[in-house]
Parts: sequence; structure tokens; C-alpha cells
Amino acid sequence: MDFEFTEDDRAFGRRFAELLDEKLPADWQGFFAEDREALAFTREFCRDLGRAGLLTVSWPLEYGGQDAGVWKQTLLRELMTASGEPRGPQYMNLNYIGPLIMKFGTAEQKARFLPPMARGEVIWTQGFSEPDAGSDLAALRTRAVDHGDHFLVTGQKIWSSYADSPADWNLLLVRTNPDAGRRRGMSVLLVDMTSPGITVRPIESMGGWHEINEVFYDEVRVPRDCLLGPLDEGWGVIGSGLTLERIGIPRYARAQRVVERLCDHVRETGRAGEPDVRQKLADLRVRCEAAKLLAYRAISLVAAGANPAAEASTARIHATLLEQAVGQVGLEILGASGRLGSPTEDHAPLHGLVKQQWVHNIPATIGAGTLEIQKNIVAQTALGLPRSR
Amino acid sequence: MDLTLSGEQRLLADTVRDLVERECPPDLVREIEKSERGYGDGHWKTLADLGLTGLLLGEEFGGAGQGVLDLVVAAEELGRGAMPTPLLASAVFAATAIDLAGSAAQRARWLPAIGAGTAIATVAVLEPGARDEWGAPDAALTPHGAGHRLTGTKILVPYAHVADVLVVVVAVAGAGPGSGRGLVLVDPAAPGVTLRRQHDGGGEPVFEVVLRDVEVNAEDLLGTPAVAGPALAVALDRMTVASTAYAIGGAQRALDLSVEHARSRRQFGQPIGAFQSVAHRCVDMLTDVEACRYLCYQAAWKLDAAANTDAAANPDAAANPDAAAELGTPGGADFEVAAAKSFANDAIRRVFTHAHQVHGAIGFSMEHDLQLHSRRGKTFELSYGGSTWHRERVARALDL
Repeated sequence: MDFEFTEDDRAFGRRFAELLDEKLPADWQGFFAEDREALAFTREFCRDLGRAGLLTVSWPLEYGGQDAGVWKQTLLRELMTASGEPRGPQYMNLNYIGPLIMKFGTAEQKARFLPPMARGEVIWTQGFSEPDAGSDLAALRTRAVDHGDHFLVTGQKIWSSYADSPADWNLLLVRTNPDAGRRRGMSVLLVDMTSPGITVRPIESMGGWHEINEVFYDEVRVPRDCLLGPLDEGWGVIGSGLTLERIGIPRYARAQRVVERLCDHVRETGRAGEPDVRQKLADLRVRCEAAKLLAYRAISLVAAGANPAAEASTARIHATLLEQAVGQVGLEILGASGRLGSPTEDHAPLHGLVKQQWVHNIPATIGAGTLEIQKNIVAQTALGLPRSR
Repeated sequence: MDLTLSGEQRLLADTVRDLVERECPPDLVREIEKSERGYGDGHWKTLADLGLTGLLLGEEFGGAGQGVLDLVVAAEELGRGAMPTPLLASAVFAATAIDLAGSAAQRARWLPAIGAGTAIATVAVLEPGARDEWGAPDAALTPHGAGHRLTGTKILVPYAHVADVLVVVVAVAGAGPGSGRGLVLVDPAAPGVTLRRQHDGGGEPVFEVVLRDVEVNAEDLLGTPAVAGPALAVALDRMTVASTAYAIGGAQRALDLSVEHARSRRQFGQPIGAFQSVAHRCVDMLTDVEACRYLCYQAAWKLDAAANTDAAANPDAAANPDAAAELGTPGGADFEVAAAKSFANDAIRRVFTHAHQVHGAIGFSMEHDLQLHSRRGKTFELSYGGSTWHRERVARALDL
């Protein structure tokens, strides 16, 4: 056991932190702040990183990466997440869509889809949930009819992140065989978002202008060479992807950054001596530590070659509840002035950081599998409890 | 960075687990709890033979020179079986205090015997009304002839009835880290020392120790005040982490019992574990236990790292007070220890709340094993600092 990064890993982290200092605009509030300019910046940022070969440092050499290892990847992700995700929507490519293509893709698919991700030139969205298939994802009905050299896709997806950016490509889960049973008969397609028959309708959310969309598919033609993994076996493909996604976002790092800014704030405003403020901030900071260590435990298992599905869910449960607690308790510490949550408000404490933390994490326990679904996974896989109902 | 246990640590855990399962079944724990001795003499020999009593001590004292991390791996398994044992009080708390604050003669007198398990030491720190072990003591020395007399009352002193030596925390004048607290070695059989058994429900024998004009000579003083305060601080941190590991073992056992019960107990025509309201409580227990475990490992690792980089390994702390004084200064393991204990206090309370709810009425009965652990869990929460105190330590470590 070793709770310290190697000097090599730390030096890597320092170099990346310096790079972020240099590249991020002085008034950068994060990709998730209410700022339409942020998306344009993230595109430029990703292309810059891509040109320097830094966007996919943790990818294997053969896919244009530098084989940087899981801990450098972790440090990089922590810095990105803590800084408000300057990679914008493209974090999804790097965290799980790219790795899924590496794992399940054909040689042609890898050659076609991975280099543009490494260059920072492509935005992917995802199509999993449907209006009648949320937590019960296996109830999905979007249909892909097999026509030999292509599929025709018809149906409706919802909560597709960044589809309106606009996204260039889509990782789409569809039903290819309606007679094979609920979890069989699904497949994953890589769909060109410029294909005729696709309509994107942004959904206005509490979190601001982008993020989530409804996407309609009307006889969309998808070439057969865009089928990812085996036909009718898409459930397993998506399962792998969700495990990667669950540990891919170091949510604790953003939470810890907000806690640190709150500590600065109470010191600067002379409130650091208030006993309840001290207790609350200490508690939040300890929970950041717990969530981080559980993520590191799951990553240690990945590094040892295991697939820690239950450990990933455990880590995610802590991290998402922590993110919500930081927003909620943080606002309680700020009190009435915390109501001013927009970066453009003159008197908004910490430029609205804490209010943003609150609102953006309302769905933290919903996306990528609700808290209840995460708990079901842990109950069944780690504890061997019977399937719940 | 690597959060997996080494092969040796896994082997140690397995060895201790097998031993506890074989030699310390729950019915024997019940029997031991009712006995005057309060721990199993055979268990003590086994733990000593296994090297646990000398695990933390240097090779010059016949110890294994291992770290707190190795100790917590073993302590968790002892807690899983609720084994009553003076191991932590003697080989962790008292041994660390003597090791860090003692003179060469004091260390040579006590450490080899503690390490071999032929002597038992314990620390008398709490006093009536105390909220935690970090408070200022009232017990004090008064000059008397060439030496001193010690007067005061200590409570909840574990295993004082079988101790060969008491490490007594006393009030002293002085400034600096851990100031105001000194350490004195007292023979429990000395004139003026009276023991009275107390009952805190925690499954281990604890005692009121009344000290009335107990004779204290120069060779009984454990370090100068400048040395004793920081040494006590480190000893307390080690004991805090070791007892956290023991409590995590108990919480893990409560989780295992709950899952077993949820799988086998049927109501409304199905195992109660098929109800999400029950299953999710079990998951909440698991996620809490896991978080406690890794916070505890980290605190132990950090204590070991601090010991290797500062003066904890100093051969004669009493002769080198400046070096020893660094032991309790910031940059040590304050944040990690306080994080682990503050989280574990709350988390383990949640775990036992869930465990009792999942078990229903049977968990409240003395015939069920759950109570062995839930009583210890509450004692743990109230020992070695509550959440509020440790969160305050975290706040200080964050420069608040």
C-alpha cells in the first residue's frame, strides 16, 4: 500500500497544472457555468491539447496516446474536473467512448474514430435513455432494422448530453432483435449525427443552456461498419462503458476544489472562527477524502487488471452524494448572499461557484444510473442479495 | 499510489482471521466478558506467539519493527471476532508512549517484556467528566522530599487489573506542543493505588484508578514535559487508528450478519433482502465500512511515514528532547488521523443503526451476536475523541 504518487507522477501533475494556468481565461468559470462562450473555448482548448499530444496521454501508444498509466490519467482528470472541465463535452470521448471503441471496435473503427478524438476535433453524444426506458434501460424500444449492409434506426432517445453542441457522432444503444429477450437483442451503433432523419431538440434544464437533449430518429441509415461489438450483445458493451464512466469523472476533485474555495472565502471574510462553519467545512473535506480514496481503490484494482464494477459503484455513491452535500452545505454557510448564484452578479460570493455546485449536482445521483440503481448493483454483485423489486 | 494490501498483509489478515474464528467463537466472548480476568489467557499467548505484541517495537527490543498499517490489518480481524484483548492498550498505546518518551533504562525495562507479552502495560488518561483523551488532566505531582507524590482519579482505564505498569497522564507546567501533560510510570500494586471495576458495556474490563499520594521517584518520570506531551500525542493517534481498525472489523461483522439475515429471513413470501428498503440499508453499511477502512489505512500509512521521516525512531528520546518535540507538530498525520476517526465515529454509528433495523427484534436480544459488536461500536464512538473534536482537528489542519 502506498498513499503517495511517485515523483514522476507528481511532476506530470505539476506540468499539467501549469498548462491549465496558462491556457484558462482569467475569468474562466467552468464549462458548466452559464456562459455560451465556454463551448467555443473548450473546442479550441482540446485542439491545442491534441496538437501537443496531451489530450490522450493516457491512451495506449498504438492509438496515438503516450501510455501514461492510470495514475497520471487520474491526476489529469482531477485537474480537468477541478477546473470546471475545460475539455467540455469531449471528456466523454476520452473517459469511456474512446476506450469502448478500443475494447470492442474493429481495426477499421479504431483507425477511423480514435485519431479525431486524439486531435480534439470531434464531439460525441450518447443515446441510452428513452422516455419509457430510464432506470429500466432494458425496456428501450428504439429499433434498428437489419438491412444487410446497413441498419435503419427509428425511435426516440432522451437526456442525450451535448447533442446540440452540435455533436458529430453518437454512441447509440438500439434494439436489433425484439424477440431475443429484454437484455439480449440490443446493439451499439456509432451514428453520424449529420445523417438524414435525425432531429435534436434541446431540453431547457435548471442547469442552463446546454447539456441535455431529446433526439428523434426517423429511418436513419447507419452503415453496418458502424456496429460496435457483436450484434445483439450491446448490453455488455454498454455495461463496460458505464463502469468506465462511473470512475472516469473524479467528482470528488471538483467537490474538493469548491471546499477549498469556501475555506478561502471564510478566512477572507473573517468567518473561519465560527464553530459551525469549521465543523461543516471539516466534514465536507473529510468526505472528499473518503470519496477520493474509494476511487483510488477502484483504480488500483483496474491497474491490477480487475474489472471493479461494485467498487466503481461504491466510489460513485460516495462521490455523487458528496457533490450534492458540498453545494447544499456550502450554500448554508454562505447564507442569504449565496442566493446570488450567477457569475455576472456583482455581489455573488465566489462568483456563484457554490450555487452552481448545488444546481449542477441535482442530477448527480440520477445520470449514468440513479443512486438506487447503483445500490441495486452493489446489493446484487457485492453482497449477493436477491434481485430487488 | 497503490491501495491494495501487500501479500504479507493479506497473509497476516488471513492468519488472524482464522485464529479468531477458531479460538474465539461468540459464546466464548460472552463467557470472557463475564469473567473477572476479562480476556482469554490462551488468546494472549497466541497473539504474543504470532508476534502481534511486539509488532510495532524495534528489533533491539525483540520486536518485529513493523508499522501501524500492519497492526491495523490485524486489529480489524480481532474486532471482527470481538476478541477482548489488552493488545491495543498495551502493545500500541502504552508501548508507544514508553518507546517515544522513555529513557534508555525505562525502554529496556519495559519494551522487551511488553513485546514478548510477558508484561502488560496500560495508559490512565481519562478523568471523571472528561469528554475525550486530549483534555487537560487534574492528576498532578507535588514535590515531596527528593521526589514527588501523585494524586488524582482516572477512569475507564482498560486492563488496569492485570497491568504490570500504568502510564499515568498528569498535569505539568510548561509550553510547547502537547503542553500541560506529562507522563509517569506507576506500579498498580504501589501503596496509594486503588482499582475499582467499572462497566461501560463495551465488552472489555475497565477500571477507576484512584491515586492517593503515590510515591513517584525520578526514575518513574517518563520523559521531560517537552518530550512527554508530543509522545502522548503520537501514542494517542496510534491508539485512535488501531481502535478504529478494531471497530471497522466489528462493523464489517455487523454487515455480514445483516446480509446473512436479509438472505435467509423470509416475510411476505420472499427474503427480506429482496425489498429495496432492506437491501439499500445493507449497501449503505457496505459503502460506509469501505470508506472507513481506506481512511483508516491512510491514517496508519501516514503515521508510519511520519515515524520514518521524523524523530519517532530516535533511539533515546529523553536524551534528545528537541527531536522528540517534533513528533506532534503539524505535518504529521493530524489530518489523516482526524479524518479517519471523525468519519468512522459517524459511519459506524450509522452501520449499527442499519444493522439493528435489518435484524428486527432478534438483534436486540443478548442471544444474538449483533449486540457483541454494537455495544463495542458505541464504546468506540465515545473513545479516543468524538466526531466534533476530530473535525476541529481537521479544521486546524486546513488552516481554518
